[in-house]
Amino acid sequence: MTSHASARLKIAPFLFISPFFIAYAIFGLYPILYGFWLSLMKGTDSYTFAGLSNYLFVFKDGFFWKAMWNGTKLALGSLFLILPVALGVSLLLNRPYISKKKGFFATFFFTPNITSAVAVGIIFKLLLERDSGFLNSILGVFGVDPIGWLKDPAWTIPALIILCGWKYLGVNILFFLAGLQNVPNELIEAAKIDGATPAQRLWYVTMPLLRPIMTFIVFQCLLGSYGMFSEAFILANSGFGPENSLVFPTSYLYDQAFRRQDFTYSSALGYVFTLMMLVIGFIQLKMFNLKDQEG
Amino acid sequence: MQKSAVALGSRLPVTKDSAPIMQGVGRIFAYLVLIFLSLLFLTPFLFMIGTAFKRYEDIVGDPLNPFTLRPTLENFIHLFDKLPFFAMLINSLIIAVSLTLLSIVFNALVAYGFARYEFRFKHGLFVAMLVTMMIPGQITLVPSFVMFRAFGWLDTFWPLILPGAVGAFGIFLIRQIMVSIPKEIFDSARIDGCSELGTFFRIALPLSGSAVGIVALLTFMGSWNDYLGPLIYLSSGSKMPLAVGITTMSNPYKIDYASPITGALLMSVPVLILLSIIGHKYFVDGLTAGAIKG
Repeated sequence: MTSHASARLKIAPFLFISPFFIAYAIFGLYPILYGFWLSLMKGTDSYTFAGLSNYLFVFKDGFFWKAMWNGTKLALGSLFLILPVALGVSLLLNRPYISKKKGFFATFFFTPNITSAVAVGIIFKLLLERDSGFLNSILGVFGVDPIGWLKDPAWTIPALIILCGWKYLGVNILFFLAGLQNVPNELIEAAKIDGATPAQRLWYVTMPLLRPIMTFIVFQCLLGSYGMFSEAFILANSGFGPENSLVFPTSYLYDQAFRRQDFTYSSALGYVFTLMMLVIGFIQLKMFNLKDQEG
Repeated sequence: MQKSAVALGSRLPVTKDSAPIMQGVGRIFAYLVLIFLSLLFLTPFLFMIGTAFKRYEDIVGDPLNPFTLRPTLENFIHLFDKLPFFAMLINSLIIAVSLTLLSIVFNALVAYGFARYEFRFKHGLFVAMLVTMMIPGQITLVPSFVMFRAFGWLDTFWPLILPGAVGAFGIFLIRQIMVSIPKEIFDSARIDGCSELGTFFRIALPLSGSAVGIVALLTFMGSWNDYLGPLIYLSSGSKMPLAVGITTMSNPYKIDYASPITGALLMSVPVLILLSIIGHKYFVDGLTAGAIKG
């Protein structure tokens, strides 16, 4: 009886955790392996072995690199425009005299994040309209000539950054606020007494303590920027935008696979993209860890 | 010693005098910044609500004003006329609700397995599970499609429901709560004759309510807002959920701003209001918990 019960106890934990591993084997691991097999093939109806030719083609495919470059532009915009604003707002919200209303503002700024990307794309298409959009009308009041946000290839990425600023500022404010909980007020007060200016307090006290959360935020930001799909796709009317200025790796992959039916090549695209994301993620983690050891 | 005390004393009144004024200015400035930013954040929502009630001439003619003095319902009539809106709403609900229910049960089951028991390879398996979060979905996009095609699941809801039913993030969040439940509670339930599964359903699941709530809300919103999934897997119009359905409104003869906006409004605002009432706090807590620990 006892041995029976203990045998059951030994097997019980594996029964409980098995749903994840079974599901991942079917919906994760198998497609990943099958995708690699596909990427070595060519043909549409029947596949023939093609070696690494798909991969060689990816590296020569200017269109893919254009998509990666657009991802890089969005990532740089997010890192250097959206994140600093998010940090600034969260520092503001973290002031003691705002603390009571902190939750209200934080959830308010967060609302766009749970708004459907499709709805957000549709709204911004209207707001960014060249001749009758809200933004150009406001700028017109200050004497700025109308900008073709969604028609002029030089302005499509800035337009997308504006959209992303609205949609993703709130969630980053939440992340920074969570990180700021790890910055003890006594430390700031001590630095104040020692005569540190606000800028010095931010740079030498707050920032180093924010590093763990920064690692996470920057990682999310990079992954999100390179993985951009829905918002850009809607802004570009289900296409790539003027002069392909809104093509992103995922939209290119979607186009190759589901419009051109080239499953083998798009599988290779998926593989190269994933490997590049892992490398970028790895480099970023290393950079932040190195800084950690220096500090 | 005494000298420094005097120096301190002579400096204190000065800071006391100037500090409140400076602080007051700083506070007013901080509130101004926050109010300005809030208005900026509100603008797209106001335009989404207002434009749905505008006539074409007002949208083009008065772009600075989100609302119109002569509201119309013609955009809604046009939308219901052109789109099987309620069928799409039902489709969205079927997909999102069934996915959410499955994700609650399966994520919690796995979380319970990791939180309650000690077993061989536990740490390794847990880390392996977390690693799957690092792998971008793009790698499985095409092979999953080929696989589901072989299953005969194209143009069904299965590819939109089953793969999301259990995942590392949800398991992780629920496990965080479950490990904090005292072991004695489980043990006494076992002694009272509760089975392992009974302990899970009667004790562990109800006691992890807040984490389960977060996972349910995030899953629901993710499914409700999903665009790429239905775009790939569904082809017949009668099966489309709202996220893809409202994008099929484009009018080839005239630039139609209002209909897509009306669709966007109907798709997102009721859900946002509902969620801000029942679960905004869940979102905030859940995401930040994931950020700190992840």
